[in-house]
Amino acid sequence: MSRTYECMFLIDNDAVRAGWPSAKEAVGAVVTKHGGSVRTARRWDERRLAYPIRRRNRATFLLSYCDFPSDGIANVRRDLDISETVLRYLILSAGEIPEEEVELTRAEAADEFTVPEPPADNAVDEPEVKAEAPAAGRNTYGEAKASKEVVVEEAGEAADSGAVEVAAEGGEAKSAEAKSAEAESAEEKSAEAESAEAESAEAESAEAESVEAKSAEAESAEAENAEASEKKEQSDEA
Amino acid sequence: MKRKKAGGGGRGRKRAPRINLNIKADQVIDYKDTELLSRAIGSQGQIISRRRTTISAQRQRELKQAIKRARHVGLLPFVG
Repeated sequence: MSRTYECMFLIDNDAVRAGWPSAKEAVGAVVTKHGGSVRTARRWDERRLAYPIRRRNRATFLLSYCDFPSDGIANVRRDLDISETVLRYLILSAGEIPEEEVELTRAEAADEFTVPEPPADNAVDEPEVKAEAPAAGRNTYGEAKASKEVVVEEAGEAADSGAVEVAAEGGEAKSAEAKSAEAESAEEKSAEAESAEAESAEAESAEAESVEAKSAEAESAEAENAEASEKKEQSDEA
Repeated sequence: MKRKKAGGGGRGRKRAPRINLNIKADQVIDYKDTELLSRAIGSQGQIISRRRTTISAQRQRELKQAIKRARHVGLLPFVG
């Protein structure tokens, strides 16, 4: 009783340079020697290995579907281990042969099929673009957070400068205007800031500013404003 | 005015960053599919845990087996 197996052979590129059909034949000979039969065999790819195998950095992959008798695989393995053409192999049991493999084997058997010359052993493949979704996600989150913080800071600065200007001018009517302007800036800030702490800080500063506006004297208003700004800085630091 | 510090306890452990492998329901995880498998290994070549891949236990076993086969034939690194 024989079963079908999927076999992947890593063929030494030196053997491929000597001739692909002969390299394929060398593997097929090992399989048939122990009572197996090659159903399909095709060149899967030629690529750089993730780590050197038998001091080779590149290899040609031969994908094959073979039938082996149930006691034949151990002998095949032993021969493949000794073989210098085959750098490494992987034999898996397979239910049935995919139709695609049959077609590709037929295409490879055609006369016009040519195997490209394998590149030098130290040649490097084109760098693959790795999609690192989690890392990208973290980065965008960090950037979003940073930009939000910047917005809040800007709003705070604008409010401070507005208050200073109004205090320097003095006058009741203007201080009333200042009130409204401050109230607006406070509203804007509260809309932009999300955290409860930030909101409470704004409320405090708004209270301090309204007290300033009520005072008639420009000097005292300035002094209070300076105090308020100090307070705010402290709160921001905290 | 005293103020409580932001942050602190009560938020629980940070959720592990997930990766989306986009494995279809009828897809067979094959060791030759290096495009898929390379997304399921970490920067040092370690297999990413099920907590992060968020696939079923059966799928994770298939994935693990495929990665190990790919490593054997030099398609994926063991380390690095």
